[in-house]
Amino acid sequence: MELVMPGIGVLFWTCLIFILLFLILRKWAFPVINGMLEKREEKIATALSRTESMREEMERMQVENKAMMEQARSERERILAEADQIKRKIEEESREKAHAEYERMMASARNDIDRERRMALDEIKKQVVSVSVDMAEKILGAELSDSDRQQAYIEQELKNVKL
Amino acid sequence: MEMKSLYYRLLLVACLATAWPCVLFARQDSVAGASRERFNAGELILDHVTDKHSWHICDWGGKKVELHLPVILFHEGGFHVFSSARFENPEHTYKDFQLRTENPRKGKIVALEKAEDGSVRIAAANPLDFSITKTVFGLMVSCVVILVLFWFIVRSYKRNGENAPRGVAALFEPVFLFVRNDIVYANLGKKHGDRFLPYMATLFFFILLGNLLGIVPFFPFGANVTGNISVTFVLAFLTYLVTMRHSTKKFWSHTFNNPGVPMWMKFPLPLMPLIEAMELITKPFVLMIRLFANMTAGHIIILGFVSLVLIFGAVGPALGFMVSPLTVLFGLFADALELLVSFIQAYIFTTLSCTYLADALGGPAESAVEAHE
Repeated sequence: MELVMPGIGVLFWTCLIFILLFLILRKWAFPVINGMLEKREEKIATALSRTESMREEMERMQVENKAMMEQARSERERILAEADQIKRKIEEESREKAHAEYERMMASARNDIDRERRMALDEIKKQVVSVSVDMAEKILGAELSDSDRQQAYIEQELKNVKL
Repeated sequence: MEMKSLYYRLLLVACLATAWPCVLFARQDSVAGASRERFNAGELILDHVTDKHSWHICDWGGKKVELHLPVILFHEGGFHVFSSARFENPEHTYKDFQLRTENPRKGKIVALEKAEDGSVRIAAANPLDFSITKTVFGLMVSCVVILVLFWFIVRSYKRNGENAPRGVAALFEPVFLFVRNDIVYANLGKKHGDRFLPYMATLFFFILLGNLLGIVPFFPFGANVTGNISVTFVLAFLTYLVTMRHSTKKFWSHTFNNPGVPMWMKFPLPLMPLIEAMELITKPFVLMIRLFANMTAGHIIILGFVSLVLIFGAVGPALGFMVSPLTVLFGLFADALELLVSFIQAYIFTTLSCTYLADALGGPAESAVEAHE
């Protein structure tokens, strides 16, 4: 029975000791501990949010980077295509120019040849005529002693000659 | 399989080795006890669990080594302060006071007076006993331990700043955070929680250290502090005072005119208000009884297992020897259980204090919402 009977002495001392302990801890221990804990929690929270914002920044930069890379690639492709075009154009132009030159040279050569041939033909005609006249003179010496008739005849004959 | 059987064999050897001194003591006790009186387990257990005026530390060379604690009595308008060693005489008397060693009022200090026929008898008026008893001394020891612990912790926090805790603080912090977040904030919310955290945390660590140091079997620990009804009474009563001091109008209107209850339960017979009013008293009463009963029961169980070897040893040394491994195993189990119970009881006492307080502050709904934010 004594086990469950509260005694005044223990009641008094427990009260005193507990309240003293409570006052001491409240005044001296808990503010320090709780303050530090809260400070640390705050620090961790800010560090976490900073990390989060940094991660977002990184992500943004990565996206930007990617866009820049994409742009650079398309730029390069554009430049390459342009260069290719220019090359083809130059090629085309030079080919055309060469062709024209060739044509021109061919034309002038043909002209030259034509002229030369005509001159040669004229020469040959003259030669043939003189040869023919000589021969005809010799053949027709007698018949064409009259020089007027002779001339007329030559004229007529010359018209008939075709080379 | 091989490893396992080896492990069990080692365990058995360890048990026997630890049990050997017990057996020796048992034999000694039985030899000594035969000349004095038979070993009484119930008496031994009750003797250990109840409060006393001196602290029996051990027996050395056949003599008791004990700490005589100061006796402080208030009797007939005056204080009487002396050492309990003064009672070390055949009559257990000093001045007009006697430390009763048998019924009636066994273990208490009574005042003696002379009867008309010249014989000495117990006076009707009992002196008020404010002695530093074993429980009070144990209380002081556990408070000193708490203060030293907190001194280290506070120093560590001051040195370490906001960095991760180290040393004692690292051990302490999870427990403190548990008390703060899972007991106080969870029940009271942040706003009220911050106000009552010092009280609740003091309560928790006071009970926890009292429980834990109660398990330590050697001086200056091992006093059944939190298993003393006076101590638990004070703790429950303080919680009750705090609760009542901070009770709101809403709480009282809910107590005496609960809106969720049909009218016929309140009028003409005030059934519900009566039950609610009873609850005001039963709440702290239950707090007091639960802690007291759990801790005392734990001490009784451990002492019971230890007594087992003494009981069997009294019958025959061989029997005592055979029982000793069992005693050690069960004792170990009971000790481990007590370790768990120490935490659980501290947790339950603090949690219930918080829920009662939350009720008084105007219902748990409001604070629960806060806690979830």
